[in-house]
Amino acid sequence: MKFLFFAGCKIEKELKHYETSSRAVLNALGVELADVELNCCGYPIRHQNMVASIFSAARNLALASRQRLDILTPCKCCFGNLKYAISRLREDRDLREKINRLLEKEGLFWEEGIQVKHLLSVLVHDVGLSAIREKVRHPFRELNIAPHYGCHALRPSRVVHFDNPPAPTLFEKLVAVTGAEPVSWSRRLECCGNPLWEKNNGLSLYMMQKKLEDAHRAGADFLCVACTYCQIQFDRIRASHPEEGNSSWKHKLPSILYPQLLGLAMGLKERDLGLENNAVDSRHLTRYCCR
Amino acid sequence: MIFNTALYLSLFICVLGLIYRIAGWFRLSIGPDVAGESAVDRLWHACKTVLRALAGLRMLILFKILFIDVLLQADLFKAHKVRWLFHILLFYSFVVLVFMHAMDDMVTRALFSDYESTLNPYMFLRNLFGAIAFLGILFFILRRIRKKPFPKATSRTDIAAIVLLSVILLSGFLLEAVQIFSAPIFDEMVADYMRSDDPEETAPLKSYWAEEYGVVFPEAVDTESPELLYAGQKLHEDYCAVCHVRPISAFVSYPLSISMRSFANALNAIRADIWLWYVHFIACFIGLACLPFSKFFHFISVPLNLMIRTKSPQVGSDDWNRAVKRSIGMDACTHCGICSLHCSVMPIYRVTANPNVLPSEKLLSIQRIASGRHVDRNDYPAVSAGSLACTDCGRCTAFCPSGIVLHDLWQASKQELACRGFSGPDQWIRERSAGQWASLSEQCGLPDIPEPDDYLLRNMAPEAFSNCVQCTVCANVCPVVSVPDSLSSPEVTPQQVMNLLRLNMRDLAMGSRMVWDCVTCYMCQEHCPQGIRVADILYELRNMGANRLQKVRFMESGKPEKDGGSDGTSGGNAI
Repeated sequence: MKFLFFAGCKIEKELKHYETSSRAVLNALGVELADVELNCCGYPIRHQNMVASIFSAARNLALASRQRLDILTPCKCCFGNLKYAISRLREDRDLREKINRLLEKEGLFWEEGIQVKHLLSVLVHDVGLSAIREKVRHPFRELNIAPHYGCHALRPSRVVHFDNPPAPTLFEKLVAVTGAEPVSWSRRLECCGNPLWEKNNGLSLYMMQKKLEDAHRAGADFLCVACTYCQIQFDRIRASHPEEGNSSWKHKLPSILYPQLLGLAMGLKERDLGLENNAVDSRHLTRYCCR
Repeated sequence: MIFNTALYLSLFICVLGLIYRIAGWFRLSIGPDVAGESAVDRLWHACKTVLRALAGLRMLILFKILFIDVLLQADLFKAHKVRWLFHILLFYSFVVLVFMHAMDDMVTRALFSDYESTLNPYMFLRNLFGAIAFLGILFFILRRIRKKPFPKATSRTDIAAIVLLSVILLSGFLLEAVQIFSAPIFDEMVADYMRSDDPEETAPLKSYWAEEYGVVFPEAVDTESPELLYAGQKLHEDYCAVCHVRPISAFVSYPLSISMRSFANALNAIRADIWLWYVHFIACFIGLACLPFSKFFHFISVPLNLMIRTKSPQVGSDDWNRAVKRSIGMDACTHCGICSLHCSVMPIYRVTANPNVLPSEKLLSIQRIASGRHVDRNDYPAVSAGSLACTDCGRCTAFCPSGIVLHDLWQASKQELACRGFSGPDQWIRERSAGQWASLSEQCGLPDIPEPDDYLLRNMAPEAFSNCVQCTVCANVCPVVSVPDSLSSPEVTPQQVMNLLRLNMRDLAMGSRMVWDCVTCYMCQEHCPQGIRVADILYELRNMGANRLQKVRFMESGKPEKDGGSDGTSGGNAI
């Protein structure tokens, strides 16, 4: 099983441990990753210029098809935008021709065929829960996890086909396989607020705050995410910009990345998982492991 | 006389220029975070840092940087192996030529007591290093002609540097070639060293030099007679051989000289050797005088930048020298374009044709803005759009062979642009209500937003939203509609945006807070019972806004754009 790894722009500088932990987990589960220099998925520019966004995505897809490899990305926004671009290219012949004319100048071409998969869907559908269960050596005990889905993986469902949009279960299953208890919380499908960061910071922090409070009320010890932008929001941005008068949330309910959770249960090297790199201290996660 | 005057003049210009450039590091700044600092403050902090570095252990680190990063150019090696090879060849061959050839009286003679420029190995080595340097230049010319990832990849300063280096090298080779066959030089040397002007006495030497050294005399010289040649050889051994070897070791100039033999008499008559000598040294002195103002300045700025750069991903806000570091960083750019080749958002440039998307080109614009020189207000929207396209992935910094901390420059310049009123549509939209924006674009004479003719705006076609039954499901599931008024007060809800579109009030829809505070969670679209692509429509309204707000804002500021900007590629419309 081999995929082209699509890290996305933000991971290298902001969240390197998301990449190292994802690679460690996938490697341990026998998933091979190839690396080619790719460009931005086109998600950020989508607000300003849809053609530029779709061309950015299509270039990555064309590079992947040159490698004859499907794409695996740990970022839900990259995943969402690459899928969205495929749907637009599929439905719009004029756009497809325009994009292919641009690609042609580099000897590239987009055509149907390359699949885009998110880390979580590869784990559930390609690796399989039973294969993961076999590798879990130190299951968690008495650990309540609030899985946060991330909008762009779930919706628009006709484009992304990630899971059942109103009632997804994929993330809960993946949490349960580590021995942790997935808590049920009402805001689990809502937005983390990051898309509005640096556009309307007050609103962005408010939305995050509402989610944190809800997960806390539901009895979660940790929030668990599987998206670069969501983790930047719940971890980096929360630590450096606590909402006014709410600095207690700087330490409460840390957010961890799913490969950190799974990697710990699998007994992988802690250096690769990078728990100490989380801005909101989450090192006590190791205490829930049964050894 | 001319030589010395030109030398001192060019040295004087060079020193003055260097002072001017170095003063610029303390005087100019980019980024509001350093705007308040005075030049004296900066100089003070820089001096302290330098002294501390010289005194402490940092000295060892600086030596390491000097050796690995500057002399071996490790960053360029990592970024591009072939370019590294040719850059090293060009650089070191020039360094050798400058010290051992141009400054031979001072350097070479001091090192080797038997030095004569017309003896081996010096003659051979001069040709060798000249040839290597020429190979390097040829590679850079070919690369710039062949591989053009973006149109402005070669700037005027690049061309000037390449032309100047080529003139220096070519005139050097030509000069030597002409000197080889020069009869006037032969006559001067004979007069100086043999102290004879008797034609009978010098005839054997002429014969020998015409035969063995390729000198071309205006009169016919007998090179057939073995006696004459033998006598010439004797004379040669007495007077010339101490300083002269056969020119065959000048493996570039000698063949060049042979190929020019048919014009030799004419060239000797006009003393081409003197003219070429002027061309050669004047070109060198122009290079010296222009050093602070040309691409050659990177000999100074790049090593310095490599020594002062901060390798941590974020330049600390407590770094007192960050303003100076930014200025030196900007000066260290050689416009090699490696950053743009690896830029994550390069495809955006391919669509919008805004060169300011590319780091190498954006840096040129930012240099202009920081220096305050000829900044056209028309440039700002394009620079701003280019800056906003950056995703801050840090690849440009990682690949920069000059070690420029580019991502810090981008952050600073983004803030600088915001201070000058070019923050971006997400900020501008908050300055006015939707109604105000709509009436403003009417006042500015902008036509109603045209019918979406682009497939891009497929979702804006009437059939895309005409099915809306105003059931308010979208408003009920929208996480933004329900937030407190202090954070966002969408005057209209998603279904009201659809209604505005149905009424063809696109400007009003576009300017509404609902459109710009949308978190793109797609809840509305997912839940719409009529299957309307609500979130997609909001996306496209923002696309329109990004274009239109820039125009309105620009026209409102009183100065019209250079061109209509309606072709999708010009400045105001760049993104």
